[in-house]
Amino acid sequence: MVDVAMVGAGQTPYGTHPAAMKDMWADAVRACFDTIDGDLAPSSVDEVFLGSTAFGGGQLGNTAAYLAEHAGMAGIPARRIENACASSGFALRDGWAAIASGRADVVVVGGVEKMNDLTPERKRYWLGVSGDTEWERLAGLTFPGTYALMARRHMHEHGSTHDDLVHISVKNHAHALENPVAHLRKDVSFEKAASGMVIADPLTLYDCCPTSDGAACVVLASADVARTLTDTPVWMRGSGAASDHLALHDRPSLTTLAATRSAASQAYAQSGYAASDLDVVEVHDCFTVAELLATEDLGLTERGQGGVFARHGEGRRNEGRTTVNGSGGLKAKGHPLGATGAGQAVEVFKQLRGDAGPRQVRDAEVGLTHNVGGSGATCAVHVFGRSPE
Amino acid sequence: MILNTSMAGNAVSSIDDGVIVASVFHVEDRRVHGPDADDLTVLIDALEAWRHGKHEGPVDLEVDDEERRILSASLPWLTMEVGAQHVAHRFQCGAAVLDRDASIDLAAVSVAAELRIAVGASAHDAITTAWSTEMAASNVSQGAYVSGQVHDLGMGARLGMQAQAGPVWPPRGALADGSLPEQGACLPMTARVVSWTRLIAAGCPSEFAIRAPSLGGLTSMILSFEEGPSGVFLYADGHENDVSIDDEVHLVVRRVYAQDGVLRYGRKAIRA
Repeated sequence: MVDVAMVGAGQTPYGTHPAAMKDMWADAVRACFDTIDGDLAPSSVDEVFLGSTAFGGGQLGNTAAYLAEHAGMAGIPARRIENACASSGFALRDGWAAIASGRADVVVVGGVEKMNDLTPERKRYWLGVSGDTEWERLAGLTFPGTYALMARRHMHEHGSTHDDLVHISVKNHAHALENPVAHLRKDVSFEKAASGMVIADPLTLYDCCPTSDGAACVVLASADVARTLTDTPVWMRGSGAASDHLALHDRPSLTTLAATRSAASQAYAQSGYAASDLDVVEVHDCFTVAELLATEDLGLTERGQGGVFARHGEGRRNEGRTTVNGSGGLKAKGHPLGATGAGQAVEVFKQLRGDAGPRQVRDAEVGLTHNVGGSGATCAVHVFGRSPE
Repeated sequence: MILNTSMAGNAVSSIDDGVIVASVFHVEDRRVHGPDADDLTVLIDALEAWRHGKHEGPVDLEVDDEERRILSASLPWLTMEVGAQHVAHRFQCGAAVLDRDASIDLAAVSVAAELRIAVGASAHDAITTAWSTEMAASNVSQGAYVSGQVHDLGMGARLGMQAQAGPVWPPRGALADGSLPEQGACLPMTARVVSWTRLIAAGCPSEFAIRAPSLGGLTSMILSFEEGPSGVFLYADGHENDVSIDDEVHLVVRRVYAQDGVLRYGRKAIRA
């Protein structure tokens, strides 16, 4: 199997943008290629793997061809990968596999989502299409509801509290203050986050991520090519992915995501790293409880101890055991669905190269991205290192 | 006759000749349906109460084709037969299943004061108007679309709790070994709360957008059946919904939403 490295990574700011989807994608590609030390043009890559839910349906069919054309990659084999919010996490896996198998030398992996140009009703439609439509949705559930069900059950089984979730919200907002591309760059106090408007009891406004516009892009290369393009590649050391029952009620437990556990297990085994080796972790905190569960499912803490992990500030940048969502996470950096997984890889790329500026994690050697689709029906986990071995 | 027993969210009187069921909701002294109930759901409640009271046999009842379809899916044990000894009657926000020879003045039925749930006239009007709006052909839901065909294929599982052997519920296309599932028994109409949430109106799926503001949001929960499967259900609208994990709840047929001008029904939870 061929070793694979990230040689470039860039993204647009996340937020509410006047730009069209194709223009955001072109901006992300340009930002990405600007970080490549050697000569490489978009038109010379072998393949394009693009994650997007095509939210809003602006270009629902042949999205990848449309976007490749608008970023200087017309003619290159391109495809859209859709796994809800995990779309570009799976695009990353497919891009990695194309190189690892020897089929390609250089590929573009990315994601894009345009979410804030819709009416509230249409937005709710698109936010709901990735849940279990026939049973969950017709029982009144959108994703705030499904994650609220997980939160309440975790509180019941393990004694976690809403204050634990507030700690996660406050931490991620604080991290985002140092991130120029974050959607929500504002200091949020514990008192403010604790008194947010209830959205889906027990979750409040400050437990929920925003809906963001944005695009992110990375370039992957085989080891031989990577060394011609940069002296500081970031190596993809492990890739794991899994799926689970689409509907929450079909799963044996509401307090663990089996897809995360499976994907993490694969990625750790392939990389040779364990959870205790991680310096930088970007987890899928679409809701604060999702980060709480992720810290358990990724092995950063014991099962049932996610609340304690959050309460004790173990994920705080350069203070805790491991920096969790040093970018601000989905909660504050933002969540442009199909771009989120690629955006996580962009953050790890910057951190492992020491290019993260004021939010730099000290001595960051090993990083992980965790990208979840829906309420856990799909998950992709990747482990990265500064060292190829 | 005064109905003074509560069952499945209704007032009930069980007598030798059968059972009488009426809505507990009242606008002042006028009996009205609950926010998600109608003449059909109260008839289904009456038939379930009748069976619960150990009555059995075919029932003579007048229903249209759509009601017959929903009754058949909801009550797979029911035999409808013209001229049967037991007869279903409907009256103002109530229904009864009685022996053909019984002599009861259903127009005189009332609900005991302690069972009544008072509803403001404006709130009742708002929900009635919301249903009319939702039912209108001009209303195109912004919700995730479940086609009529898909919905109808799931009616047995949705209304009658029909499970596959195992038991497996809701139904699957194939088992882990690739084989086709076999039909199993229906799940019981009681289950325990595994988790619950209450969504504010703005957080509800678009299918509920018209009614949710009048209801103040929706309560949804995951329920576990003793037989193994779990499912997700709404709580019946308008009733006290202060549930806790591990509570036992009962499943009743209520309106869920309307799409393409057709009312869609499902099972909702209510205190056992």
